[in-house]
Amino acid sequence: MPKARTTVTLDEDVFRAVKIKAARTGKRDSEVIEESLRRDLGLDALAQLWAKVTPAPEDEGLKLAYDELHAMREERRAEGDS
Amino acid sequence: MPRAILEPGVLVSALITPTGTAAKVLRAAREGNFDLLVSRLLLDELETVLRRDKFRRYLDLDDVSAGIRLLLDEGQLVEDPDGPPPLRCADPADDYLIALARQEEAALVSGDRHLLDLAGKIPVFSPSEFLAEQL
Repeated sequence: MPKARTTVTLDEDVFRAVKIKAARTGKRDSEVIEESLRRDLGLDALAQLWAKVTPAPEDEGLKLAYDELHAMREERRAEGDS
Repeated sequence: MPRAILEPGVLVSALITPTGTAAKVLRAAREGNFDLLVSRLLLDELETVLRRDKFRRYLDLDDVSAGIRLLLDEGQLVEDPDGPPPLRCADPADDYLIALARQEEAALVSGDRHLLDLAGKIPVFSPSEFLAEQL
């Protein structure tokens, strides 16, 4: 992914914490800041969820999605009628 | 910025097939290429479906909760429609989606033939059509 350069002003204690974490993990300051922002902004949430999923083949997943959606609606209709 | 509603079947497919076309649409929303709209009724249907036993081989219940939270975070939560749809679908259970799309002046993305049969009358697109024509 292309990178964009920016300048930010941080409180000294935050900057110190970035430096410490970078030294401890062997990462660059910018990587620590970017990872923190990604976590806070939820940018990795979808990728993390997909990483946990056992992927369904597309055709199979799509068929199952609609079969089960229609079955669920049918059950709800039946419950409403009874 | 385009606005779109992904109906529950598309969202199910997006969540359980990360490499599929529906997932590409969800990723496009994530990347800010269109405004994803969700409603309580839509998310309720999605969660109820994903909690059915047949989905346990793909994702566990914690993942289902995480997926719903993610959509609430990523999407713009809008009111469920309180009026009738501008036209009826062959499957009445889809009428709320048509009404929602009209209310929000948004495209509807669906893999359901009942809804896709209404193309030309309402702004409904398959996931691949939406990616190719609307983004």
